Parts: sequence; structure tokens; C-alpha cells
Amino acid sequence: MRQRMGWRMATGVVALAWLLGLLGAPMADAQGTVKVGFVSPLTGVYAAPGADMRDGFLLYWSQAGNKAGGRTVEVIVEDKGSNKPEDALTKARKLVDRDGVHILAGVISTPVAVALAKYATDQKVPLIVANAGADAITQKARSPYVFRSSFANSDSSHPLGEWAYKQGYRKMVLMASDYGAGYEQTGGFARTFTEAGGKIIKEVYSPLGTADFAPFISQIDRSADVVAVFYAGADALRFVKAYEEYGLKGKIPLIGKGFLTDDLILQKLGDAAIDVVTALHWSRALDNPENKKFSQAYEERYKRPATVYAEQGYVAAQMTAMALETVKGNVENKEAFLAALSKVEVDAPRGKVKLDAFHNPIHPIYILKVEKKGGVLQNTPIASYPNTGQFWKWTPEAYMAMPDYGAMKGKWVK
Amino acid sequence: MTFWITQLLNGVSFGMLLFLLAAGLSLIYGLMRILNLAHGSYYLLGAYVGLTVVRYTESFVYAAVAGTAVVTVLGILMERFFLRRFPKQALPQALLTFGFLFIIADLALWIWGGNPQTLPKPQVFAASIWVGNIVFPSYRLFVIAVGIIVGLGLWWLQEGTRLGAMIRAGVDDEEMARGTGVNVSLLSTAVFGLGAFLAALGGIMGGPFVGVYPGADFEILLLAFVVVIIGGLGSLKGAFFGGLLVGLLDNFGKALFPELALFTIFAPMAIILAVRPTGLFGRL
Amino acid sequence: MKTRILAIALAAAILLIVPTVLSAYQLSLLVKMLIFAIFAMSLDLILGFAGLPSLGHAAYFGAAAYTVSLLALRVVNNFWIDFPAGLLMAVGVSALFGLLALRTHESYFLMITLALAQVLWGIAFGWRSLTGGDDGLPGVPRPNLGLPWSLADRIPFYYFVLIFFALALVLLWIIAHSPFGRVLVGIRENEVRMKVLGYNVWLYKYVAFILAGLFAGLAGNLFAYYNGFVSPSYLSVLFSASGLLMVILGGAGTLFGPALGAGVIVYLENVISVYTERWLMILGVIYVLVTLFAPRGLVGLLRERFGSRLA
Repeated sequence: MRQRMGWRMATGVVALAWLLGLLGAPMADAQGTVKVGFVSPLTGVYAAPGADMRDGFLLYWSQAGNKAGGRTVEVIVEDKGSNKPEDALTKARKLVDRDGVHILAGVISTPVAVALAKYATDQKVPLIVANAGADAITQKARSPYVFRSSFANSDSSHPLGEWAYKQGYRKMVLMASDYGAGYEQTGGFARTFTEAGGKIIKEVYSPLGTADFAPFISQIDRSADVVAVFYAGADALRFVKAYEEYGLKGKIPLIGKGFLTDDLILQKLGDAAIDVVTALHWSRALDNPENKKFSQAYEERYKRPATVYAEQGYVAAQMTAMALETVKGNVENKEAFLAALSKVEVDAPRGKVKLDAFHNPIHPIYILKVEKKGGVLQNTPIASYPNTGQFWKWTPEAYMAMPDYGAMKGKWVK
Repeated sequence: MTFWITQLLNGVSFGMLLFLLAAGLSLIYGLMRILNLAHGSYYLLGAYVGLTVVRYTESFVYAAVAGTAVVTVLGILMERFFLRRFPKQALPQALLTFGFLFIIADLALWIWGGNPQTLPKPQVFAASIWVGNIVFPSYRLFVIAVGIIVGLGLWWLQEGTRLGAMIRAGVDDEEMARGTGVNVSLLSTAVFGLGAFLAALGGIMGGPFVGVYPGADFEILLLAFVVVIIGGLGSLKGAFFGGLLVGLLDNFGKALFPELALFTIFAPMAIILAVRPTGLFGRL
Repeated sequence: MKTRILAIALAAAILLIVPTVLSAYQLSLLVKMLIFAIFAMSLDLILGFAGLPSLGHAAYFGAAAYTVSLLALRVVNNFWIDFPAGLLMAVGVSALFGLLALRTHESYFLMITLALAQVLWGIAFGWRSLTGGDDGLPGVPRPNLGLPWSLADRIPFYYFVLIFFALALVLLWIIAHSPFGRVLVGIRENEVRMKVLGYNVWLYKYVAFILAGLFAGLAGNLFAYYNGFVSPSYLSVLFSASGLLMVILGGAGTLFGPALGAGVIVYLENVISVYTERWLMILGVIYVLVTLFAPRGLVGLLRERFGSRLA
């Protein structure tokens, strides 16, 4: 028994060492290739947005012939698997250490963004976040190495609050998934709505992944003028349908963040979504040449509709390419490359995008209304706010001095 | 008043869905002592297959038939060719069913993609019903009806038929049952198939309002576990009343104490554990 | 006896010199394997030896990780306070959960341990001001032991973890093969008989449960340092299930088996996904195949193949 244990141990360790060896020593750099490591969830709950974000990113490179700044660009995609941020960290280590990537990109969810931001900063590798919207990443917890091509959770919420007030709404019910992004996304419109003079009369938070929205919908105060929400993915699908089922559609207007009716689920929402108004930095129905080109190319190549995640992935690639062009491919000169990245201005499918001093996009925000055109549902832009940044009308210092939206949860009702 | 009635109906309809999900798990465990970790996967597959069939035929009924048929066959195959080899061995069964969970989950992702989906409701139940101030989706009433019918059907099966008697015998004492000529192995396969059928039916019924998406398998499995803990393993009554109880407590809990929304499912479970660890009706 | 010492020496030697030949990424994976090996071995104590199928083992792992992180970030960054506090928390939680769970058996035990861990997960997720909610707590520093080598560097950290791994392995081995451990096996085999023989079965199970929690907490502490952050996923069902899989895959009741299982699963998860998107399915197929052909786990398989030759 004891002998066997010793032998087993030895065999095991030898096997382990061999297997580890198989993982490969750091790869020698193929002459002159710029390597980009893309971390995205391709399995699990975020599989769909993760795949979109990746495909948008890859679409750009395939259109650009995998070149930028005079060098070939190679993208290595890593699936970060199900909801464990530490797996993303492991993948990032693989990309940086073994594959020698010069740039990291991707990231759907906030915990992953937070973990990778720290890692990227420690390793001195630029990271372009193509989705995770946690405000802090480009505010209090910002880093010279971390950039975003997507959005800050509250940035498109601010205009919506003002817009809601202008429509004549005065009493608002706030609803969101009960987690960080939920508070930030709704906090944005709560703040601007109340600043304009409106009142929040109720806040309702449901756990992420609520199977049955009935008990939450029943908590909506029927004297409200408007219900303003943040839901995404499966929650959005269930919520919008339940809103109609329980008779609120048509009685109390429903508005929210664009993820509520994003093309990921829009067609499945069916008529329940008609007349819902949302705010987002992109819609498939945007009528500009860049967007038309992008959407068509995406749909042709991937046989499914473009979504906001795909657009963000695409913009991340645009930014990378432009920065590479500026430094003439010399990505190894980190200072120059970082400077180039912070100064990019791209013609994105959403409109003109540039980065603010905190590396978050300044981009147009659209107010969108769901309508049926030609039998197909779409998010039609009905208003736009160009050049909107994450701080809205405040200065960065004033904005960051205010309590953050996570702390404001539950405190909007006076 | 409106509030209470709506919540009551909600709770009951959700409870009926939970019953469908827990009944299969409980029955399978009762007879074969197998804790099927792939139970949630049956829900997933049933719903997805139903989704595809509805796309092509526009018929909810065909979807229900197809979804349950496919999953029942899968369940029978799993039992016959895999689980049967490890009678009463919990660990290999756990690893095996876990393996299937991963396989089915990935297969589903591959075939149907990662987008969250819902099953379209049958046309006749698409609208909501208005009675005075109360609005309620008629579909949910349908779910309640189906739940009650299935419950009664299973009860009749268990108490009123020979098959049911054989199952009860097998649950109580397998060796004796075998001794009296009951073909326990055939029975096991049949019961496993039935369990799979119920889970898939749950997938079809739940499809329109809970939806189907990657990760649903795990979530459903967890819910089924909670109901079975409360109701008691191996008991049909337990699955039914456990489901009802959880559905009601969850609904009222979330509506009245939104702060504790995360715990409304687990609170009743914790109480049962403290008071009566084998569940309300569990005998095993 | 000689072969045994030789074998152990060989294994130890490999583990000691391996940092010089491995790259940073490979080394970091090995560290992850060692940490999970500790986790799996701790679970083996109750699962493999005492026969208690816990599907909530991540609770003690995560509780320790959060404690260490919270203290280091918000109270005092002192290894000699934070680390033991983490262990203490793990022991406390397992003592509490043990009281609740050990009232049940087998499948109920499995479901209850699962549910209890979920409660803890819910708290971590929901109590945002304390735990950072789903964002978790980033920026956990590596401990400062006042040594000339900083644990922020990968090689010293590797040895740091290796020492704990060796410690855990030795201690668990001693416990498992002590009279106490033999009683646990007896309980697993036939609880009624042990009761009749006069053993306080409940107490043995309870102590084993707490010990398992302690070592799980050790792994949790290390994992928090390793990643530099902690998130609710450390308390999740997925984590507990991974642990269960590692034990079963490796071979329950052998201690070394689960350690091997941990290594294999970490390896598979990270390598297969590089080559194909369908890695989940492949993992599933592997589990099914292992169950069919090696129902006693990989160690059981090795035993069958090489056992007779080494008898």
C-alpha cells in the first residue's frame, strides 16, 4: 500500500511534468506579427454576446486583410468559459506569457474586466474592453493601460433621464437586475431625471436570472408615469413579455437601456416590444454608411443579425488598427502605442467615436423606439445626443465626487 | 385584493412547473436511488427540440410531443446503457450524469446557439384574461391545468394501476418485489423514461415564460433539488405539494420582501432541514 | 520500503526543480493545480473516506478566501493575522453547516450541502457593500512574510504554495491512516455496525467535516492570493461540483487520486479549450468514458494496471 502510494505519486508527477511541457514553452515571435489576445466567453450564459463580440472583432480584421500599421495582425481567441473570472485570468496569462500577445481585448462581464484590468496593468499590456461597462473601470479604478470601445454603464442612461422628463413624465418607477451593472445603468437616468425635477416613486430589483417576473411586476406602483428599467439577455426577454402579459403594456410606458430590446432578443420579443423606448449608443437601424456596410458584411459572413456586442468588438478592432497605423506598427514602444490609442478617432458604425481622458468612448447616444417595419422589428432612432461622454454635463471631478450608483441603490426614492 | 389573487395564481402556476420538474427527479430516485444530475438537461433539450418543431410546424402540440419523445428516448438510452451498470453506486452515477450534463449542454449550444429564447405560446392561450382589475396570462392558467392533470394522472398510475403497484413495491423493497416476479429492470427503465418525460414536459410548459438558454439546465436542476428537499425524495405527493409550497413562498416572498429575493427559494428549505430533514413527505 | 522512499524522493525532486524549466504560464497552471489538489484532497476526507457526498464544499473554500481578502484589503495586511483568520472562518462555517447537514444522509446530504453553499453564495452576491457583490474584491495583495523574496514573484509564490501542498498532503494522509481515519472508513462501509460497536458516529463525522473544511479553507486562502481577487464564483455550485469531479475522477478514498484528478481537470480545462470550442463536450465525454472504464477513478485504474507488479 505504501509502496504503491509512492510509485503512484512519482508516476503522477512525471506525467504532470510531461503534460505541462506539452503546453509549450513561450512561442517565438513570428517575424513582425502583432498578436492580439481576445478573451471572450463562448460557453455558458454569456455565450451569445461573447460570440458576437468576437465575431465583430474578427470581421474587421478579415476586411483589413489582417494588416495594420504595416504589420500582420494575428488574433488569438480564448474562451473564458463559464462564470468564473479566475478562468479569464488564467487565459490572459496564457495569452501574454505563452503566446506573447502585445494587446489584450474582449471581456463581456465586469468581474472579468476588473481582474484583467489589474493583470494588464501589472504586465504592462494594453487592454481594450469591448463590453463590460462598470463605471469604475474608466473612473475611479482607471489605468493607463485600460481602454474601452463599448460604454460606461451610466453613459447612455443620462440622456434618457432628461429625455423622459421632456416627454412630460414626472413619476418614475425604477427596475433592474440586482447587481452592479443594474444599479449603474438605472442610476444614470435616475440622476438626470431627478435633477430635471422628476421623482422616483419606487425601486424594484430582481435577482439576476429571475425565472418568473410576475412578483416583481406586481410591485410596480400603478400611479407611475413611466417605468424605466435595465435588463439584458434572458431577463430582458422574460421581463418584456411579462410586462405585456400582466397588462402593463399600453397602460404605463416602458423605457430602458438598449439591452432590453437589443437585436440579440428583439425578434423573439415579438409585438410585446413595440413602442418600448430605449437609449443606447447603437442600433441596427442606424442610417449611416458605416453602419450599413458593417451590418451587411456581418450578416453576410455570420448569417445572423448584428448586435451591439458585435459593433463594440468591431470598434475595438478599429481602434487597435488606427493606433497601430499611428505608431507605424511599432507596438513594442508601449508609451507611444498607449498615447496613440488614447487619441484615436474612428468612424464607427455607431457614429464618430473618440476616447476621453479616462479612455472611455465619447460617442453619440440614440433614443430608440421599437417599431415594426416591413414585418420586422427594429430599434428606430428618434433622437440623438452626439459626443456624449461618461460624465454627462458634469466635470470629471464633480461627477466622481458624487456618490457612485452602487451606493445610491435604494436611495432614489425620497 | 387584486394583488393577492394575482400572486396566488402566479405562485400556483410556478409551483405546477416546479412539480413537473421535481416529480421526475423524485420518482427516479425513489425506485432506483439514482440522483440524476442531468435532469435539468432534459428540461433544456425538451424545450429546444420543442422550439425547433414549433418553428417548422407552428404547432405547440407537435412541439410538446416531439420534445417529450426525444428526451424520453434519450432518458431510456441513458438508463439502459450507462446508468444500469452502476446500481446504487452514487459516485459513478454522479460522474456519469455530470458528463452527460456537459455533453448535452454543449450540444445544445452548438445546435441552437447561445441566444436566450422562449417558446411561443399556443395560439389559444396567447392572450391575457381580464376579470375586473385583475389581469392574468391565460397561458399560466393552462400550466396550472396541465399540472393538476399530470398530478392526478400520476396519482392514479401510482395508486390505481398494477404498474403503479409494482413501482411502489419496487420502491419499498426491491428484493422482495423481484421475488414476487416483478421485472424490476424493465420497470426501472420505464420509470426513468417517465422521469425524463416529465422533465421535458416541464421544458415545454416552462418554455414560454421561463425560457431556454445556456445555463437553464443548472438553474432548473437547482430548483428541482430544492423542491425535492422540501417535499421529500421518492414521494409524488412531496413533489406536488413541495412544488406548490415553493412556488407560493417564492412568489409572495419576492413580492413582499424584495430585499430577500435571493433567499425566498432557500428559506423554506432551510426551515425544513431544521425541522424535518427528510422533507414533508419523504420516507427514504 | 526502499522503492517507496525512492519514489517519493523522485516526486519531490521533480516538484522542487520544475520552476526552473517551466514558463510563467506553465508554472501558474501548476500552482493552480496544487491549490485545487488541496481542495480535492480535503473533500476526499469526507467523501472518499467517510462517505459523505458534499456538493457544497466550495462554501469553506470561498469563506476563507473572502476573509483573507477582506482583511488584507480593508483591515490589516498582515499575513499572520489574515491567514489564520481565513482558516478560522472556514472552520466556523463548516462547524455550522455540519450541524445542519449531518442530520441527513446520502442524497439529502448532497442536496443540503449544495443548498447551504448557495445561501452563502447569495450573501456574497447580494451584500455588495461588504463583498463587492458580483464584482468581487480585486487587488488582494500577496502576503508579505518579511523574507528576502517577494511572494509577488512567481517562483517564490510557487514554493509558498508547494509547502502548503506538502503540508496538507502529509497531514491529511496521517489523519486518513490514523485510527480516526479507519473509523471513518468503517462508518462509510457500515454505519450501523459502527454504532453498535459503540462509536459516536455523529461526532466522528462532524470532526471529519470540520477538518475537511479547514483544509478547504487553506486552499481558499491560497487561491485568493494566487488570483489577487475573490468573487462569488468561489462559492458557487460549479466550484463544488468541480471538486466532486476531481475526487471521483482521481479515485475517491485514495487522497493521491483526487490530487491527480485536480491536476488532470485543470489541465484539460485549459488545454482542450485552446484547440476547440467544443471543449465542454469533450470534457463530458471524458467523464463518461472514465466512469465506464475506470469507475474507481484514475488511481483505481493505475492500481489495476500496475498494482500487482508493485505488491
